[in-house]
Amino acid sequence: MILALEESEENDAGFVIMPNAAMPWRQQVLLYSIIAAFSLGVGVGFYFQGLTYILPFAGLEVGALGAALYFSARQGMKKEVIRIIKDKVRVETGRKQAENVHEFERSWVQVVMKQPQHQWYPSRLMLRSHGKQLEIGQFLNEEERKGLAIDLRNAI
Amino acid sequence: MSEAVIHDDHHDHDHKPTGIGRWLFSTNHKDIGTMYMVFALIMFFIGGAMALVIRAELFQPGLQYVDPQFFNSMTTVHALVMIFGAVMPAGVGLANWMIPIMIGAPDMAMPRMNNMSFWILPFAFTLLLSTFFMQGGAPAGGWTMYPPLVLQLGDALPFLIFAVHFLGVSSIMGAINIIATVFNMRAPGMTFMRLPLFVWTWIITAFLLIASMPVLAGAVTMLLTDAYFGTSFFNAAGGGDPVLFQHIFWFFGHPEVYILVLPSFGIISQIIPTFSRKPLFGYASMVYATAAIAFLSFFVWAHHMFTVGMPLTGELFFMYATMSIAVPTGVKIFNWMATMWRGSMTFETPMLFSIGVLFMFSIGGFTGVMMGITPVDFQYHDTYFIVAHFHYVLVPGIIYGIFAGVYYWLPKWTGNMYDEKLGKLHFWTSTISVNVLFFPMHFLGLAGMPRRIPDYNVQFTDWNQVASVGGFAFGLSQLILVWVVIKCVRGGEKATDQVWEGAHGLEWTLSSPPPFHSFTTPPQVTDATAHS
Repeated sequence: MILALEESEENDAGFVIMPNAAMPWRQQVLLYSIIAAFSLGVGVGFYFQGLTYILPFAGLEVGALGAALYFSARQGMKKEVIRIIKDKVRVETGRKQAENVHEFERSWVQVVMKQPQHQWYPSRLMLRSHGKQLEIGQFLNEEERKGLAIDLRNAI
Repeated sequence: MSEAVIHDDHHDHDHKPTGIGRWLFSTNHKDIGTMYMVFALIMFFIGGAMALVIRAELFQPGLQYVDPQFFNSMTTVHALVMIFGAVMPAGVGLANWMIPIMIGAPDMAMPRMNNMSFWILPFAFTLLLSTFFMQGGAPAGGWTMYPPLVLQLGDALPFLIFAVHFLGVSSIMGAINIIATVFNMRAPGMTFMRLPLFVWTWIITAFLLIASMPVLAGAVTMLLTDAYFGTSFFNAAGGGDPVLFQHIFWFFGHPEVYILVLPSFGIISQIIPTFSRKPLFGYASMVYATAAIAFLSFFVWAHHMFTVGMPLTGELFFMYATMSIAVPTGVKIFNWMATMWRGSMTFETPMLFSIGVLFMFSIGGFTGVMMGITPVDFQYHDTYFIVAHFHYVLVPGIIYGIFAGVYYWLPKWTGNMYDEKLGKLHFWTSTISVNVLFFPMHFLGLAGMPRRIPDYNVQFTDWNQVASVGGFAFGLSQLILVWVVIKCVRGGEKATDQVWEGAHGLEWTLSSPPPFHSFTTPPQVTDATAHS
């Protein structure tokens, strides 16, 4: 998913790129809570019947499911922010906050779209300057990546 | 997201590991799916060989080939191997192969966990099968492991319990992975109500696993502590109650039936529309019916133990609850029939097996309804009638669904068409023999032949002989499947990407065979590219 950043004093143009989050985190928490409540409810019910060993297993399992959902959803929270600020092109990568920042000279940077050798493989979008290159938008689909390449070229 | 600065322009995106490492350390969903399927096939033959020992012994009254203890081990381990070693891994294998490419994901959400959940299986079955060489022999008290009988087992008891634990862990890891994958990795536009039915049935199966597996784990752990640590959960002398074990075992055991059957329902829900060249009739009602079956499965467990002695109110509750499952199941059966109605049908092997499921699962379903009637169950309980019932559900109901899926997707997996003539031969020989094998068991049960006995009254001889002939014929028929798969893997007519003219869905947009890394970028899903 690509969102355009509004023009401001900070940046002339910009884009926010995020992977497809198939399910919002809140919905996942809700569904997880239902599953956990059922599973733990069964464990608690049997606990009061004197079958005390079911609840710890249910707890372990519900914990494992929660961890799996959390780590899997975290992958969908990644974000790339591309800011075009006067003579710089800045790429910030991270989740809620920028964890890594890469800067390129606006006048030198090239937007390179590498086509794959076979249609099985995805195209690759790079920002390239002075012998260093940075791949962006790996998690976009083909159409979005092509669109981003055009928009970036126009903006830079 | 790409945080690393890339210097190397010559990235090989389709890099495949080679040698044994490819399989041992695989995190690729297709490779792991293949390993699950191969493992399931091996276990199917091991469990099948045990079934043939049983049928050979029962060919005539008296003791011929094995002693009663070994015979009981055969019935017990045959069930455990077939349920946990053949049917469940085959379902998980199909899920591994197909779910990511059906929802437009590059792989499963937790690839390393996927690897672990597979490799636990050979370890667990080594534990279980090693019990044949132990003092006291292999487990022989039935796959239900009822105390106090199971506690009389020799050295094999802890091995049995740990094997069950490991199998449970493997299943739970698989279920967690499927839930995380479907929740988080669907392609843009792949909404829940656009998911292929196979994916839906697997999400619901995963929920069933999550809810029921801790109960089994707790139950077998309590057996372990009763045997070795002085607790008395199921020991009446210490204040416990052996019947309580039956309750918790079947609280797991009945959902387990649906854990086995729902993926098969999902498979034939993909196949019937393809070969009827019509969209699935009543997609939404199929989803809701599947969820209803799963939900109800938690409230019917005591129909497995009507004869144990329970209050009339309890018997009535469980009888009516059991009957009510026939409603959503009927919805599914009628929807499949409505899908075929006035369709432009052809009868390739996957369709034949799917129709086989429709007919013969219904036979198993009807006998299930019969036994759900409490007073009638008192007559049928622990007879060959129940053996006939659950084998109709499990073999032509569930295993046929898996066969259908294998034939349906084999050209996609290998890139080659399978031999259609051999496929049809496999179907017809299996279908004739499976009915020769299991249908007479209804008569034996109604006539009063008990299950789990190596010797029987001479009046049961004729139908037992018929069943044994059917059993050996069915076993031999499965060699055709092995030959078809080997032949298809080695070569044959090249399959197109779509493979089947009427097939719809994302998996058919990939090449046959699909690239090692499929959908490295998510496709955009629309109504046109969603499920059939």
